[in-house]
Amino acid sequence: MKQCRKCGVYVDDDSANCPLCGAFVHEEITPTIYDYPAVDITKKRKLFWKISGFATIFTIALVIIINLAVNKKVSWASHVIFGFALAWICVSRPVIKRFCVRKYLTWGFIGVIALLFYINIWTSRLTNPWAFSLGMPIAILTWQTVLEILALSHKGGRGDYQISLTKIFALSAICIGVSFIWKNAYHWAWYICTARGFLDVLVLSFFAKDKYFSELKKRLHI
Amino acid sequence: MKNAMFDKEWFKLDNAAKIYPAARSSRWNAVFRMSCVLKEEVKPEILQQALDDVIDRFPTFRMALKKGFFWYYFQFVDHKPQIQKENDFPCAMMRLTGNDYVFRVLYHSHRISVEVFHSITDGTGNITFLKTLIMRYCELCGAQIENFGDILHYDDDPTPEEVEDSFSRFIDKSKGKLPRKEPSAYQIKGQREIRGVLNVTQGRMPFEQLHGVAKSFGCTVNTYLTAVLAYALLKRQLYEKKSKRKPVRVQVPINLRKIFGSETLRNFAGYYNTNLAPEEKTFEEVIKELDSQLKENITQEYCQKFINSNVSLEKNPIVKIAPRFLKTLIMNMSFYLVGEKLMSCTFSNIGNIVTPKEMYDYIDRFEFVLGPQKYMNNSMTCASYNGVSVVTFSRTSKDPILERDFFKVLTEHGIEVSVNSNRR
Repeated sequence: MKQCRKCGVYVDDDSANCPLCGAFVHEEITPTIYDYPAVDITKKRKLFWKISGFATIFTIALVIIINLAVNKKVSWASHVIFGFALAWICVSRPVIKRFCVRKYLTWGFIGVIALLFYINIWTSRLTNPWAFSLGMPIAILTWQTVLEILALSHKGGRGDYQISLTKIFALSAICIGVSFIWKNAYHWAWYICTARGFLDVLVLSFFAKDKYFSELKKRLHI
Repeated sequence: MKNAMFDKEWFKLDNAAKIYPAARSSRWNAVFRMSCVLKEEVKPEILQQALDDVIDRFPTFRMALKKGFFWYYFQFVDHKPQIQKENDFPCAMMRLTGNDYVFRVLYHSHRISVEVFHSITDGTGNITFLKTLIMRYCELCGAQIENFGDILHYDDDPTPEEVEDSFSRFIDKSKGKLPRKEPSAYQIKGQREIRGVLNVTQGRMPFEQLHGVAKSFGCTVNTYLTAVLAYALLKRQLYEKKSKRKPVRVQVPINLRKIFGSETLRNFAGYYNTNLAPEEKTFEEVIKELDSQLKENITQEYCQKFINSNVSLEKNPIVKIAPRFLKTLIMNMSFYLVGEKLMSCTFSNIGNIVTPKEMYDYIDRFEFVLGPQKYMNNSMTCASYNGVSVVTFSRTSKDPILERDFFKVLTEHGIEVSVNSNRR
């Protein structure tokens, strides 16, 4: 080992320069046994996400500017913003964060509900609430079927069974709430969703294995 | 499958552990490393065998981090952990999803490293695990070890005291809390490296020389190194000639196990921030001031108040019933506003590591590396073994300003320091 004249420290034989001041200390480099692995730092750059993020923001900004320039207000640009936001929350985010299949399905369901709601407002300003009377109940019934399949397939063990059951129960509770709020001609569809949900909970609870609440206790501990 | 030892499938996070999953981001999580450098090259198949044998001795390590509705929790992992060849910077970002372990065992050339996410354990817990792993490795390599000393043997059963949450056990509300307000501290700024790069600079020195110099100043090695660090920071601030000067505050972790008699392998450490006013001072004045601060303030009463302050916040009913995403948001904000702004640098000293004498033939030295801090650029550690002290600086900025100033002071005091770095 040689001494750095500037810092006064001794420098390992595998280094040509002093790690502290950069001064040249060794003429011949003889690698020692204790060095760290050499790492290529260029692999750390994740340019793709930076470029895609800038592209998204740039597109939205451009659409708003064009809309303002042509119509003097934000009109059709809102559809683009909504589309981008929905695509990011329900598609890009689960992909980036590597969600599990169950979460993909959940966010897909939330996306469909939001899309129905938005299209209904856009087309008829809720004078003809087809999304509430038909669209959403159909989506909920489909989602209940998915949850039933997930629960019965026991994918991932006892945990998924209990979580699916809790979701069906929560969905039924929401359906009751909606049925009470909209006491119009179309509420029967929501009653069907509620009845099916509670029936599911009743039947599926019958098949539940031992330590029924252990999973919920774990996930909901305070 | 359950953990046969404790009939427990999951653990609640202890008090100190709760901040780390909340404060993590897509760019950072709190990871630190303990390494053991062997005299011979690591044999991967023996290391894997040693890890397989040892892992069941440490039930708190056999965990994956999961999200609950109110808090995170640790879930027992079925599969055994695999050793990995080191091919990234030290303390690289750790994936904390799915059934991934929250620690990893790495090997490269002569070095075996255990990197852990700070939620499962602190420095003492990690070094306990590493020592047991290395002892088993040495046994498999043919070492005949008769007296294990304070090392936990892989064949023993874990005790309930080792997995307890000591923060909850030692809370005593009648003793009061610490005052919350603390001034923000001076920090060395500099051009930051790109994401994921950690510059590690190590200075190796004879423990006897270090001890001798510390003794000549009438203090312990820990106080001496803290004083040198604070002195280097102070000099740097005065050199920068900024109009607004801030106090130099070095954060010193406290091992609460010794004070409260706990045997837990989970987090049980407090910390104390030393305070040095930004004025011209000689090294003797700095060491005198810090020595008195450390002696007077790190008492059982201070530690009790520290525990009370932290645990009472966690036990607050409003905090308890808030959903996790809300807690995460608030904890993240508070970590940004006060977390690292109260200190200039962290200095963690694991002390003198003792192993059975039969292991001296296999081990060259131990190293301790703190991972990148979220906002702060520098941190420093020290570990001593078999007469060699290794002071390690971790840095996320480009220039080794603090290291240069620090080692310059040591060489001026006549200590022979040999330096190496992971950047060439």
